[in-house]
Amino acid sequence: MHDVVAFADRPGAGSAAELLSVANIEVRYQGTILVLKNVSLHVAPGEIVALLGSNGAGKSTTLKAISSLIQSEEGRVTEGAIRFDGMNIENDDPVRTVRRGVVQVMEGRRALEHMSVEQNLLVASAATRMNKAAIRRSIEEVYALFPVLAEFRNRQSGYLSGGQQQMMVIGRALMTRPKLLLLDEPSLGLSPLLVSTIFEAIARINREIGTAILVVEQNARVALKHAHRGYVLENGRIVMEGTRAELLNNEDLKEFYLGIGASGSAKTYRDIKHYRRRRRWLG
Amino acid sequence: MTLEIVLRVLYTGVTTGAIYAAVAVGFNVIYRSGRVFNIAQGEMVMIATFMMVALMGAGFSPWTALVLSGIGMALVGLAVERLVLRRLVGQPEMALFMATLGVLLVMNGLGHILIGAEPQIFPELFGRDRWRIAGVNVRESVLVGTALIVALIAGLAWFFNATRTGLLMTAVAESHQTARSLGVNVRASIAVSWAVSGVISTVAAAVFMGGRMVSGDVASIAFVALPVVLLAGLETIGGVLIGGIIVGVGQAAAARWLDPLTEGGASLIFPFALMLVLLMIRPQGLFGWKHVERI
Repeated sequence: MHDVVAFADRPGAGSAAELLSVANIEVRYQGTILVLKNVSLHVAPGEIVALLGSNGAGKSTTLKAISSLIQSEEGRVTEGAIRFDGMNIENDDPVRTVRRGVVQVMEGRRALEHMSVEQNLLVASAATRMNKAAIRRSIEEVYALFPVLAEFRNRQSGYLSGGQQQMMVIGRALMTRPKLLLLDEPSLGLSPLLVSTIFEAIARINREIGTAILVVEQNARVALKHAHRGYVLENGRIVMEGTRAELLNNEDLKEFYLGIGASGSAKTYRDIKHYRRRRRWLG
Repeated sequence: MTLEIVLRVLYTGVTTGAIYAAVAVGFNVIYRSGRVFNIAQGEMVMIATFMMVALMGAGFSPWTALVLSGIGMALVGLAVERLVLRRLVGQPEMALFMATLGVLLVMNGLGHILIGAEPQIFPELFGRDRWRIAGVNVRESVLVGTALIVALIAGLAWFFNATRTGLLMTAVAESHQTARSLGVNVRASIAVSWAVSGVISTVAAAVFMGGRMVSGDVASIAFVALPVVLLAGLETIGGVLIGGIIVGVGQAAAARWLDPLTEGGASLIFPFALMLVLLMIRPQGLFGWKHVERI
C-alpha cells in the first residue's frame, strides 16, 4: 500500500485538547433507517476540518447530528457520544446547542427571505445574551468581513444573489458567537470565483476570530486547499482520515475525489474494482 | 345629499372593516408562527364574548371584565396550543387545519351546552353617546372601539417589526428550521402567538358585540373575516387593517347601491366575490409573502 493515511478506527476518540469529539455514533431516522454507522471524528480548537464524500454519504446527517437539528426530521443519535467543550450534546435541544457555541449553516442558503439583511443578522443574536451595543459591534464585524452585505443591509434578503446569500448566512451564524461553525456545502451552486471568495472568508474567520470550522463539501479540491485535516465519509462510514497533505497525496482520493489519475491515464474498470474492494474491506 | 350618503357609507364601512381586521389579525398572528390556519378563531371570539357577559353579570365593571377576559382568553389560547397543536408539531398544514376544525366543533358544542340558545344582551362598553356629524349618525362606542382596534393592530405591527421578540417571531414565521438553527425557541414563539391571539379575540368581541343580542352564533363573524385574511395575506399584520377597510367599505357601498336591486344579496356576497377575484390575480394576498424564486 502506498498511502500514509491513517484509517478511522479510533473508538472513544477524545482528549482534553479537542473541542468536538464524535465517538462511534450511529444515527437512525424514525428509529429504523440507519444512516450513520460508527462514525468518529474530532475537531480541535482553531482547526478547519473538511468532511468529504459523495451524495448520500451521510455528511449532512453528521452535521445535523452534532447540531441536533436531525430532531426535526425524526432522527436520533442511537449509539455513541458527541462531546463539545467537555459536555455531552447528543440529542440535546438544538436551541441549547446554539447557546453552547455550536451553530450550523444549513445546506442551500436558508435566508429568512422576507426580512432584510440586517434583520437576518439581528435574529441570530437571539441566542446570545448580548446588549444592544455588543449586537451592533457584531453586526459591524460581519459587515467588515463581507462588505457587500453592508451595502445591501436594508434589502430584502430573498433578492440577494446566491453568493451574497451564502455570505449572509455565514455572517448570520457568526452572530451567535460560535466556538464551532458547521458549514454544509457552502460551495453549492456557486461559480468557481465565488466559491474561492467564500472559502477565503471561511479561512479568515478561522484565522482572525479563531472559530473552529467543520465543513462538509463535495468540492474536495477547494475544501482541502483551506482545511487543516479531513475525513472521507462513504455510505455512512468514515473510510479515510488524515491531514491535508496526507489526503492530497492519497492516490484513491486523488483519483476519485480530485479527478487526477494516478498515472495520468484514464481510469479503468479494474482500478475502480480494486478501490471498491478495498473500501469494503476498510469500511 | 350625495356627499352625506358617501360619508355614511364610509363610516359604516370603516367601522365594520376595523372589526373584520381585528378578527383577521387573530388568524394571522397564529398562522405566522405555527403555520396553522386556526379555523376556530370565531369560537375564540364567542368564548371571549360570553366570558365578558359572565364577568359583567357577576358585577365587574366593563373595563375590568375586558382585562380579565383578555387574560382568560390568553390562557384558553395557550391551552389549545398545549393540548392539541403541540402534539402535531411537524405534521402537514392540512393535519393542523383539521385539528383546529376539531377544536371549533368542540368549542361550539361546549358553547351550546354552557350558554344555551337564549340570546343575551351585551352591554356597550365604550360609552353610550350618539352624535350627528355631517349628517352621519355616530355612536361613541363604535368610535372608541375602532380607535382601540387601530391602536391594537398598529401596536402588533410595531411589535413584530421593531422589537427583538417580534423579530424572532417573524423569523419563526419564515422558517421553523432556520429559526431553530439560529437558536430561536420556536415552541415558545408559537405558544406566545396563541396567547396573543386570545387577547386579540377579546378586543374584537368587546368592540363588535357592544349593544347587540349575542348567542353562540356570534362565532360566524370569523367567516366574514376570512375574505379579509385572504385579501390582505396570511403573513401581514398591518395589512389586515387596509384589507378590512377595503372589504368593509365595499360591503357598505354594495349595501347602499346594489342591495335595493338584488333584494339584499349583493352586500352578502361582495366580500367573497372580492376574495375569489383576488385569489386568482394575487394568490398570496395584497401584503402576503410570496416565496422568492430566483433562477
